[in-house]
Amino acid sequence: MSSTAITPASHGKTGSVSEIDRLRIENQRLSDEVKRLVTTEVQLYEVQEHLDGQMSAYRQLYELGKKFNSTVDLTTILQLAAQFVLYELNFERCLFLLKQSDANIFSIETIDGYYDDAESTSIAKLILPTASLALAPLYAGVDRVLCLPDCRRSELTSLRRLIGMDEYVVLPLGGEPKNPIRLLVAGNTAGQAPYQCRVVQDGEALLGLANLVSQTSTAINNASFYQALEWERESLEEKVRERTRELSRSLDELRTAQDRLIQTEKLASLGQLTAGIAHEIKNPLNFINNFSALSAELVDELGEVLKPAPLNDLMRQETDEIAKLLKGNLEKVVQHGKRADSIVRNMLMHSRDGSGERRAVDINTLVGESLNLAYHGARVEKQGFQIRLEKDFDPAAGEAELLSQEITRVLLNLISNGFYAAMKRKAEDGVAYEPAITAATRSLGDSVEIRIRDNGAGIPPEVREKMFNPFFTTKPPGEGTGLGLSLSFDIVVKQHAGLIEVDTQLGKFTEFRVVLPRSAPAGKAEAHT
Amino acid sequence: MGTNAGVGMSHHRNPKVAGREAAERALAAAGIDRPDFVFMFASVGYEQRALLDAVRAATGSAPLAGGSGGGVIAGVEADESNFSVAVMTISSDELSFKNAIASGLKTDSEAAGRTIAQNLACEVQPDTLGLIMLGDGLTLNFDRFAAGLKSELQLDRHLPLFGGTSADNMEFKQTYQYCDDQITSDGVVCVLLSGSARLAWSVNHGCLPIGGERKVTRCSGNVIYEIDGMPVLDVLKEYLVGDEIDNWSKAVLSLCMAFKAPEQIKGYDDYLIRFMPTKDDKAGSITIPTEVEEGTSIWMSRRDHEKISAGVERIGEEIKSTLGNSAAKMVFQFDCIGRGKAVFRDQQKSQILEKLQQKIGPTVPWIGLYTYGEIGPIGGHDYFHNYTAVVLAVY
Ligand SMILES: Nc1ncnc2c1ncn2[C@@H]1O[C@H](COP(=O)(O)OP(=O)(O)OP(=O)(O)O)[C@@H](O)[C@H]1O
Ligand SMILES: [Mg+2]
Repeated sequence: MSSTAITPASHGKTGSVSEIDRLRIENQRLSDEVKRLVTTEVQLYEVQEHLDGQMSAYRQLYELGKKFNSTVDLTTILQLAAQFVLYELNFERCLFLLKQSDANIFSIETIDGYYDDAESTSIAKLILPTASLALAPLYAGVDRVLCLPDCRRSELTSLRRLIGMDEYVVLPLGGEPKNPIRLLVAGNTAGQAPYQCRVVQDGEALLGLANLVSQTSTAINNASFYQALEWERESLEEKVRERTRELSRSLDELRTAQDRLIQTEKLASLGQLTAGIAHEIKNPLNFINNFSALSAELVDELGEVLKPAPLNDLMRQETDEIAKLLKGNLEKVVQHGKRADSIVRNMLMHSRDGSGERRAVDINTLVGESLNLAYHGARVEKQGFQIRLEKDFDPAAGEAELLSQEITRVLLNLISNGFYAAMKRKAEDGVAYEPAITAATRSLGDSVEIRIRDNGAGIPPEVREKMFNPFFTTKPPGEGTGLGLSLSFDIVVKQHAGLIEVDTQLGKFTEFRVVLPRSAPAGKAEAHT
Repeated sequence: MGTNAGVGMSHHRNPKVAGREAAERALAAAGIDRPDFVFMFASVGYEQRALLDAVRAATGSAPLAGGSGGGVIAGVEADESNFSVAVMTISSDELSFKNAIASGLKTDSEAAGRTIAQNLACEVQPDTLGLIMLGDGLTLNFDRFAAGLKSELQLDRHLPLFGGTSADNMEFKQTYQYCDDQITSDGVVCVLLSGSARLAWSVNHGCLPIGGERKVTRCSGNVIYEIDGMPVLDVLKEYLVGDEIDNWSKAVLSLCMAFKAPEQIKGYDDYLIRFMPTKDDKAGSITIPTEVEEGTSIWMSRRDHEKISAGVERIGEEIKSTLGNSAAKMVFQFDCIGRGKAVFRDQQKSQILEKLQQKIGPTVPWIGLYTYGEIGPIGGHDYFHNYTAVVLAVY
């Protein structure tokens, strides 16, 4: 509508004056109508805006419900709820306080919103007694505590500084009516309040908060129910796991015990068998040994007898030759007869019942002496023998009741096996390698442990399987009897009710571990007579 | 290498996080580590110091200019909450941005204009394109400011002025201007834009007069006391519902004044729009952001949805036809706070924005501010507008 249509009345004719008046009145009427329409439009828009706001609040609450449903983690639930208070309801700050089960206080569980560093550290320490006056209405069944900007009630105003909010609302969350276990506090500082959702009596945001609280407490209930189930299930599973572990442990023990038993049985029967054979062989062997020695002497005597005989030179030369050969042969018979004798004697050891005088022996002394003995023995046997000896003795190793000679045999054998392995590696690896043997002791309380460790080439699995068998040896023919370890096993396990184990790594080390009880188990030694 | 620009926005309630987030997003969008210049638009819910410090820290303290608004725009996201910050980071070897700040607009806007001119005069080059300004929306007298600026610069050509006035959340209490590490109120920050580029812009409002022509019968400077011989507040009451006049921030959103557009810009629109940022109940007066003389014709006006949407479409077409086949390097949008959520629901608002950006270039770095006043030239003359959108594309 153009204003140029209106011109001063005096400029026109009478007829047009009334026409102009009519137009003016009409114009005024139209313009008033437009004004009315505009104001109605404004009002309409406001209503619509309001409805939009409510719709969006409900939508957001619905979205929150969906998020709640996808978690059972309490921390996540509280964070989501706090974010809702901040970003959807537009309060500046939000706190959750949790009642301590062992005390009548509430303490901070979640802090959200912008606090400066000093503020947030001090608020994190906030403690609110359940008996504080500010909370009294909640315990009387009122559904919220409001502190408006103009509030003068000291029990509420004193809380302002503690929680860092000048206007706030406190709502109970969870627990029983009149006995909340959690509090939700939402509000603003005076400075920020104009930019936030204000805390007002009966405001729509309070309705939003109330809705939030009920959704949150449902979510927390669901989560804790789920947690309880989960814990129950976990503890059940843990119990099952524990039982399974125990079972497999005792199975393992059973299996080793069985193995040891089989080994012992095997060795025992073998021992008896070999002892029988050895006895049978021992007599003929004695004949062989005695008569071969005697025969050697007889050969000499024969030489004497033949001296005066009239033999031509050629014949004398031949008889001398034959006598010499005969003597040489007999000496070999004597030598190997002795060797056979030593084998037989060793075999007989297997069948010994281990009875005899047990006496308390100082373990460290015993091991130390064995080490020296073995070392000097080896040096005598092999010139240029060189090895580093290390002792790692536990001063608490103490004494044990032992057949000391037998245990010395065991140790000598283990140490000489170690020497052999280390020297063998030295021969292969050369200067870069330094052979070494460590002898260690350790008190295990009722028993004592002895470990002989060498840095030789280790024992391959196929040897390990068989090395306790009598006569098993990897040494070249004539060098070892293969009885060392089987004998050691007998002595340690059968005679002393102890334990012998090996730990080895190819190319690195071998360690034999012997465990001996400090006192002889009653009747045990006699069991194998 | 040309120009790399990117825009980022954050709504985080912690200003330190929000500033860093928006800046980092902007840098990532631009694909740069260190910007040459930074624009920052923010809403007033934030503690301004912490927010600016966070943006500065994240942008390596590159030169910065910006201001507060009733909301911010980044890409197709327009947020009018009290907690949003938009950052544009720019790295360019073809454009230069020189900033300057002045304060004391309330006492002497003209002096502020001279101060800015003194600081930027030495930066004016033959390839200087224009000046982007953000002044306090509560105290800027644009005519005086522009007069001071131009008298001091003494240019023999027209230096176009673009921008808007900083705003708050319709509380009309305090607005902010940022320049590097400085935060002022009652100030103005200006950015002189030079380089081998061109500008395309368009200005459009969406208001219609309600009823007939009226005349200002008593006024002084930019203060109006009487219209048609009646106290101005009584006149306004005719157009407002019940006690709406007591809720001024709402009243000025629904009601504004239209002045006959000067002859020189007849092709633009029949009217230039003014809003009334303050009223004085004691003196029975209202103020507007530009000066009036007694006898000036005014039309009380209101915003109109359809005219606004159609106007935004026209902005898109005008800029597109100027750009031709060239792509915009960045776009600044200064939109009246009264054209946002006050008239449009969220969805409508983002639809209009999206349509506009589709037209001009959907991937162009785009930053905007909801202002209390808009500045954009029409027909070779700088004008102050209200209820208007000013869109400026650098290409
Ligand atoms: N420390 C060790 N390092 C490597 N192999 C070892 C070690 N101890 C024992 N063995 C292996 O176990 C085999 C059996 O050892 P055992 O002591 O029973 O007999 P031996 O040492 O071969 O013969 P003898 O003890 O009569 O000299 C050895 O031949 C060797 O192969
Ligand atoms: Mg041996």
